[in-house]
Amino acid sequence: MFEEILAELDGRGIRAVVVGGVAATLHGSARFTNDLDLCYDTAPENIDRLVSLLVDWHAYLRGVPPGLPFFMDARTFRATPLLTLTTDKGDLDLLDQVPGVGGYAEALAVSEPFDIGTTSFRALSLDALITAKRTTHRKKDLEHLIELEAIRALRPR
Amino acid sequence: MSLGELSYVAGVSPKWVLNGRNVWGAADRYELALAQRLAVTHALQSQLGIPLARAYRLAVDALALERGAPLSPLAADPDATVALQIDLARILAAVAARRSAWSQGYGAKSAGRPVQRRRRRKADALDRAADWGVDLTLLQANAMRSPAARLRQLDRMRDFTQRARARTS
Repeated sequence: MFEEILAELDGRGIRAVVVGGVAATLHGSARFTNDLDLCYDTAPENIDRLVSLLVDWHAYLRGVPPGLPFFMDARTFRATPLLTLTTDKGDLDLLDQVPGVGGYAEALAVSEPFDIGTTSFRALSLDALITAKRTTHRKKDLEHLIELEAIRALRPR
Repeated sequence: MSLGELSYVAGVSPKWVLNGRNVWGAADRYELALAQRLAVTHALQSQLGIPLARAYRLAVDALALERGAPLSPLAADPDATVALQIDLARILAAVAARRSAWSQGYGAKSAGRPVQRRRRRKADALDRAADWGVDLTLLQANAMRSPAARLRQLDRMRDFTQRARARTS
């Protein structure tokens, strides 16, 4: 599923960096995550591509009662750049900013390339993930931080 | 809802909510309906410079209108020589999006001091993780896998979880 989502993003030329739990998994985390967190480029043409994909996947807000008003378009991204969505392909968290890192350009600068099958994408580096988890300072992030620091300690210098 | 959640969902600062309590009443419950009223109030105040008390009354009127029309017309004087249109659906959609984000753990401010960036020895991080209950053998096993294998393993775990949920629901 994650592979499928990443392949579709790559295929449609959507510029985004994988952050959060899936990025941690790529670096060796054993924690389970059910959603894909992406820091996206807020350039209008990128938003348009993202919107088109999300419309195809019937995206809707996650964790809210059904029936609340929602529009999947560029205006929604401008009004609420942080979106937590459920789609036909799985849950997606779309962020314009990564705490402690910055926007897409900054996230891209501290990301690493990954190639899985024919899909190419970028994910935050382990050090950047640790910085982000330290900055958000939520209880669940602190638990995750301990694991990420252990992964870094296990890596050969 | 807490004050933090209400202000995040409404898209305003907690201070703005507290400062306006004499307008909307301190006894008003912190719930979605109040967040919607505050979001509309804030839009009217910040975008048109309408005084807070007037903006709040207009917000209450706007929300009482039928929700069907995408743009809610709101007469600002009895003869309707001046009329105001609010894109209520858009404002409410933004409130819903922020509520969704809050429900997934975004937006909440944590209490306490931030984690200090200390230089730890390699062994410290492993000891700390082991003390916390992290299974280091799992991390060591993952270290032997490629990123592709790790991602596929996560995909399989997610499939298994979804199937288990489907069977038990």
